[in-house]
Order: sequence, then structure tokens, then C-alpha cells
Amino acid sequence: MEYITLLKSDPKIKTYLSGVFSDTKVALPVPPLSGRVPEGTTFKILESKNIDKPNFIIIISKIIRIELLGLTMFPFIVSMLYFSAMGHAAPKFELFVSLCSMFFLHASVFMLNDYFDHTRGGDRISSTSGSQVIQLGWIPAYKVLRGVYLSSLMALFFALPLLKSHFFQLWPLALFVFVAIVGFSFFGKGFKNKGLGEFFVFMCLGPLVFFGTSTLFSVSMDFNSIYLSITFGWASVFYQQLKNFSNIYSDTQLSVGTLVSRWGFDASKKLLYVQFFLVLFLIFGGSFLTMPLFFAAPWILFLSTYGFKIYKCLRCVGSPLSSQMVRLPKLGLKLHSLMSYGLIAYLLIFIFLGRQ
Amino acid sequence: MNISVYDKRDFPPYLPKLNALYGDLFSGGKGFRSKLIERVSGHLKIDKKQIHLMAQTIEFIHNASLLHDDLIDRSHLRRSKPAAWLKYTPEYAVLAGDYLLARVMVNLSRHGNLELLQYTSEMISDLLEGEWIQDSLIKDWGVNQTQLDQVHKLKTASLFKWCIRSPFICKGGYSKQVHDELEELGCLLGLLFQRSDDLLDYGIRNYENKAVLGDLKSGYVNSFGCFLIKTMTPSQVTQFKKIIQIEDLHELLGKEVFDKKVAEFDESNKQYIELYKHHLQILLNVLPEHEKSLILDLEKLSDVLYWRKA
Repeated sequence: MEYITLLKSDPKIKTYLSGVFSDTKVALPVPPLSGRVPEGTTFKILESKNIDKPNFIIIISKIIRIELLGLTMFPFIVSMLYFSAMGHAAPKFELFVSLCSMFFLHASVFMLNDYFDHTRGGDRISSTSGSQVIQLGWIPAYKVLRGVYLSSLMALFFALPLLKSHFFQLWPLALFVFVAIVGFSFFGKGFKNKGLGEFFVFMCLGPLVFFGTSTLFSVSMDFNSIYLSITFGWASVFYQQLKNFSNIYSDTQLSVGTLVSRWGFDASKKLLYVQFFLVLFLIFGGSFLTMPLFFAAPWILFLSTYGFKIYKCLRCVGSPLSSQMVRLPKLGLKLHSLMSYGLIAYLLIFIFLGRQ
Repeated sequence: MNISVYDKRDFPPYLPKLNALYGDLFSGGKGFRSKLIERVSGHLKIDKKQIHLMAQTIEFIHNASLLHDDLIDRSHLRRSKPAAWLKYTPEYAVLAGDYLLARVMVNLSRHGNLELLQYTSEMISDLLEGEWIQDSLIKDWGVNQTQLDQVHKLKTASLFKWCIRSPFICKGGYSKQVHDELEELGCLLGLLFQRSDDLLDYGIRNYENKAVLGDLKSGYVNSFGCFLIKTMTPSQVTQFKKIIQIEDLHELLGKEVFDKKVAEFDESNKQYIELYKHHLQILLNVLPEHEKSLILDLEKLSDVLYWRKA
């Protein structure tokens, strides 16, 4: 096995980190065991042909964090179906380009996150951060950066018609999202470190999505749509806090000042219990607001059964390194997805029956 | 030099049972850590008084952690003798451990090397943190290797890091790169030692015929246990939790499968031995010429600690 250690001051280090140092070899950074930020970075050098890579589609799915696509897309899909169900004319072209723009924006944000994690060394302290495709040697960092540029351009390309037709309504939204992305990605630990992460996640994955969609439909948001937007935003925050809680140990080591890491293990666990009940309350309220009782009741019963799993998992977590920590964010994500599936299914039935 | 770290004249004679307890505690043990200090310090030409201080410091801290560990785990034996908390009282075991740590602080502050004092305090803090987190993982059968390594870095590796780095801190004048390499080397040695110790708990390379399955019986999944559980069926895991003899484990998995697992585990740990040798090479390049002989001594350690070769 070949290893090489390069100091930060060595000009070769950038070529190894970006992956351009060789056409036939891959340099995988070795996480420092000591927990210190060392002067040098150690790389394990492997032949590219010896790396066990899955197929291209799986790699792309992993790097764009397809499992998190629901957080971005479901609020948009539900808002689109809601306004359609309320009898408003659906601007098909604008909805289509919005969907495409959001997809590419989602992809570029997560690829950018992976790229910066790798080049700044964050991935070597926390092995659960990001998609890990660069660390596994599946894609070199320079190709991920190319993916960021391409995705960003595509996102902008698809957003241009929207900005052109609804500039005055949408530019503040676009600016807010831009500030959120820059704040999370570029300024070191950025907003996450200042405890502002939750606010931006709530807004970007909840109210702003619904506001954007209502703008495309040329309607104002009503009480139900505001309620649903808050529910989606809060469910996304709940997922983020579960994720931060599962990383509480490594975040504290890295001095990442999320709300969870600052409150500590015990207080954060209590916060998550409160958040859990609040999210369930919001979901149940949203279900009763939008669905008839015969649909809402069994749906809420089903969600409650699932919600009990989250509660039980949270109760079992007795350590920052507990095995249950890995499960928690997955359960939170699934709750968001289940809530979305229920709303989408109901709204589609409503629209279909309305057309009959 | 034969370092004797315990001298009853260093402790108050009016505290009942204290010196008897320490006499029992320090009469056993191989003193590996103090020997490591001695070997490293010899290459740096550090004077005997400082070597003695460092050796005493590490043995006091290590033995303090053993006193507390045995009480926390309710272990009945330590080095084939009744554990201190059982022979004396739990209260005395706790206080004796605390007293050793206090003594370390007294000795180091009198010595006056602030950097060494700071590094030692951080090490003790890591050790206690590791112990706390390890205790919180009891009966957590789903814990993974990455999570266990975090505990081992705090508990085991911190002591080895200290042994390798403290002589350099004592002497002073070394660059950050030297200290970074020493930290990595210490961590790797600690990890290898812990993995070997975890194998020993399953009777592998148990040349001294120590009691086995102690971790499993107290509900703690060590690194080898975690490795075995990864490929077990849920019913096998249920039976695994109840095992009290090593023969039961061989019967559960099949002796051939068990031996294959040991070989796979050894293979997976070879990467750490290779990484250790890589970092030794880096250290060789940055050490002054007259201290490079240290590398020859350090080179053998990975085999000694992991394969338990003499």
C-alpha cells in the first residue's frame, strides 16, 4: 500500500486533493487519527482500476444526495398540487422550469458541500459528512467541481424565464436563497456556526417554496397554504436537527456551533422531543385542514404509528456515539416523505375527482 | 535503567490502607508505558530525573484509570489478584485513583514545564471522556467500528500518544510537524494495541492465559465483537449476547468461520501497521540526525503491540 504525506505549503497538495495528479491513480485522503489539524495531509495512493466503483447512475445519485431530494422537491410538488386543487390555472411551462431549476440547484448545493468538505478537510474529521464519493475514490474532486459549475448554470438557465416573467416578486426569494447557499458553503462553518442554520432551512424548504409557487400561479397564499408551508419548513428543520444531533460528537470536536452542539446532548434531546411533538401536531393539523375526515383519520393513525418509532429511537439514544444515532435522521427524513406522499396522494385524488 | 515508579515515601503514611492498596497495585503490571518513555527519552538524551517523572506520571495515570475502571465494570480480578475495590472498599478505590491523579498534578507543576502540564491535563480529560462514552455504550449491540474507534482514540490512544510525545515536550524545540507525526504514531499504536486487546478477549494470541470474554459479559461490544456481529443473523446475535464460554462462540459460528473472521480482522488491521510505518518514515525525515536511531526502536512496536511478539 502506498502512502504519501504532503505539507499544506507543498504546491503538489492541491493536485492530490483535486485528483489531477495522475491519470491512472487515485489519492484518497487518510483521516488523521489524532484529532489535531496536522501540517500535512496523508493520502493513500491506489490504482484507479482497483477501486470498486458502482455504476455511473448510482454514483450520480449518491453525489447529488438523491435521498434528500424530497426535502427540496416535495414542498414544491405539494404546493403546485394544492394551488391546482384550489381551481387555479397551472402555468405548465413555468412549473416545469421551476422543477428543473430546483433539481439542479439541489444537486449543485450538495456537490459544492462535498467539494468544500474535501478540500478543507472536514470530511476527514467527520466520516459521516457528505456523500463520501470523493473519499471512496469514485469521482475525483475536480470533476465534482465541474459538476457544480454545470448544475449551477443549468439551475440559472431554467430560472431565467421565471425571473424574466416574475422579476419583482421573485428576486427577493432568489437573493435569499443565494445568501443561504453562500452563507452555508463559503464562509467557513458559516450560518451553521452562528445557529442560523435552522432559520434558513425553515424558510428555504417551506414558506419560500410555497410563496414562489403561488407567484407562478399568480395567486396569494391563503391560510391553508401558509399552514402547509410552515409544516414543511418545520419538518425539514426537525430532520436537520436530528442530523446535527447524530453528529453532535464530531461537530463539537470541530467547534461547529449548531444549536444542538451548543445546547449539548441532554438539552438537545429534550429539544428533539418537543420538536417531534410539534411536527406531528403540525402534520395532523395540516391533514385535517386539507383532507376529509375519512381520509385524514387513517392517515394520521398510520403516521402516529410511524412517529412512535422515532420517539422510541430517541429514547434509546443514551450516548453521542450510540448506534441509534445513525437511524435518527433517516427516520426524520422518512416522516417528511410519508407526510408528503399522503398529501400528494390526496391532492391528486382531489384534482382527478374534480375533473370528473 | 529500571524505573520503579512507586515509592511509599511519596504518600502520606497516616492515610489507612492507602500504601497497602498502592503496594498491591504497583507490584503487578509490565510497566510497558514507562518502558516506552524510557526508550524514547534515551534517544533524546533526557536526564534521569525527567525520565523518572514522566514514567511515574504515565503509570500513575494508567493505574488510576484501572482502579476506576475495575469499579465501573465491577471486575473482580486485576492482574490475577482481587481488584482494589473488592479487597478494600469502592470508596477507597475511587479516592486512591483520584489521589494518584492529584499527585501527578503536584509533581508536574513542581517540575514547571507548563506545556507538559497542559498536555497531561488534556490527556487525562480525554481518558475520562473515553471512559464516560464507553460506559454509555454498554448493551449497545449495534455500535459500529467508527464509533468504537472514537472511544479508543480517547481511552487508549491518548496514553500512547503521551508516551511518545512527552519526552519531546520535555526537551522542547521541535516543530509542529514533528509533534503532528508523534501524535499520529501514538494514535496508531494505541489503536493497534486496543484491537489486539480486543482479540485477546476472544482468546486470540492469549499467551498469558488471561480471563476471556470480559467485555462481552459486561455487555460491551469491543472492536472484534463488532466485526463478528456485522455478518451475524439476528438470531445469532441474540445467542451471542448470552455466551459465557469461548467454546460456545466457536459452536455458534463454527470454528472454521471463527478462524476465518480472525484472519479477516487481522488483514483489515494491517493497513494501520502500514500507515504507522509510513508516519515513521516521515518522522525519520524531520528528526535531527543524532535522534534518528529512535526510529529503529519505534519500528518494532507495531508488531509487539498487535501481534504480541516479544
